[in-house]
Amino acid sequence: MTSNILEITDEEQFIEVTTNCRDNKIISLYFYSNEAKACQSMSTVYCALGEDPRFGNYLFLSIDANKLTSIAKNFEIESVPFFVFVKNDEMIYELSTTSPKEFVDFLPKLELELKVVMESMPERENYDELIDESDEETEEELNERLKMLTNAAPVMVFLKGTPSDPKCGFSRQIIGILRENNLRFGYFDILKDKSVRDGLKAFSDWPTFPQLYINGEFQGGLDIIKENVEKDPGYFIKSTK
Amino acid sequence: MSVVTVELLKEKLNNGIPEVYNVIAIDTSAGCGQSFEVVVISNTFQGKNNLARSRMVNKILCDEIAQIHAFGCKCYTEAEWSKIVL
Repeated sequence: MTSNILEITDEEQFIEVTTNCRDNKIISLYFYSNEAKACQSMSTVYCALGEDPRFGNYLFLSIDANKLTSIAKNFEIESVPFFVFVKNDEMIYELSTTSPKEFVDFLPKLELELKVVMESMPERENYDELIDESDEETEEELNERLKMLTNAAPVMVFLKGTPSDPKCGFSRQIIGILRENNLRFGYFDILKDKSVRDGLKAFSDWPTFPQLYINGEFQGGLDIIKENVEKDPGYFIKSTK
Repeated sequence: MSVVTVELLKEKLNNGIPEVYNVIAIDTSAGCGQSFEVVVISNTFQGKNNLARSRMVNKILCDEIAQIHAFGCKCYTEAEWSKIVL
C-alpha cells in the first residue's frame, strides 16, 4: 500500500505525482514554511493524516513554499500555511487557516460536497457514504449536516428515491420539472436516511417531500414549484442566479 | 388519533384560516384515505407568496399531514379564485 502523504522535493516530481493521481482522489496541497511559527503544529497534524482511515480519498502533499518557489508562485501563494485542493487537474478549493482543527474538520465537508454535486454522474456510486448511520448524532450535528446538505449544490432536491428511480409520483414530477428546465441539480434520497428525513421536515418547516432548495434557501414542495413556474417561466433563471 | 377525512380537513381549515371564503377538500386516494388535496380561498393570503400561504395551511393540518402519504395544497385570494373559476 502506498502512503497517502508525500513531501514534494522538486517540480518534476510534483507534476508526476499530480498527473498520475487516481481520478477520484482529492489532492491536498499544503504550502508551508519552516520559518513560519503557525506551520509547526499544522505540519505535525498534517503528517499524521496520511495514516488516517477517514481520509482515504485524499492524497496529502506538502510543499515548502520557500524552496519550491515556482510552484508556490503558480498557485499564487502569499502566506503560509495555505491549502489548495485539486481534483481531476482542477483547482477546486483554497483554504487559508492556521488552525489544524479547522483544516481537519474541513476535509469531510469538502468530500461530501463533491459527492453531492456530482449528481449527473452515475447514481449511487459512493452514495451510501453520505449517510450517517451512527446513532450518536446530536441535534446540533444533524442541523449542521442538514445545513451542509441543503447547500451542497446550487439546486438541491430532497426526494423519495433517486432521479432515475423515484419512489413516489411527486418526486417523479419534480425531477421532470427540473429536467425540462435543463437544471443541473444535486439530490438526496431521504428514504436512505431517517434522521435527514425527519430532521429536514423541521429544518425546512415543511411536512412533505419532495423539497427543493436553491442557493441554500427553501423553495417549497411540488405544488409551489409548479405554480411558480406557471406564473413565471423565468422563475428558475431568476432564482438560481 | 382520528382518521383523516375530507370533513375533518374542511372543518379545521374553516376554523383555522382567517377570512376564509371557501375550502375544497378532495380525497385523491381512490379509497385508502392516504392522499388528499385541498384548495383554500381567503383574502388573508393577499400579499403572501405561495410558500407563506402553504405554511399557514400546513400548520393547521400538521397532525393530519403527518398521518397521510400525500398532500397537495393550493391557496388563492378571492380575486385570484374568481379568475380561475370563470
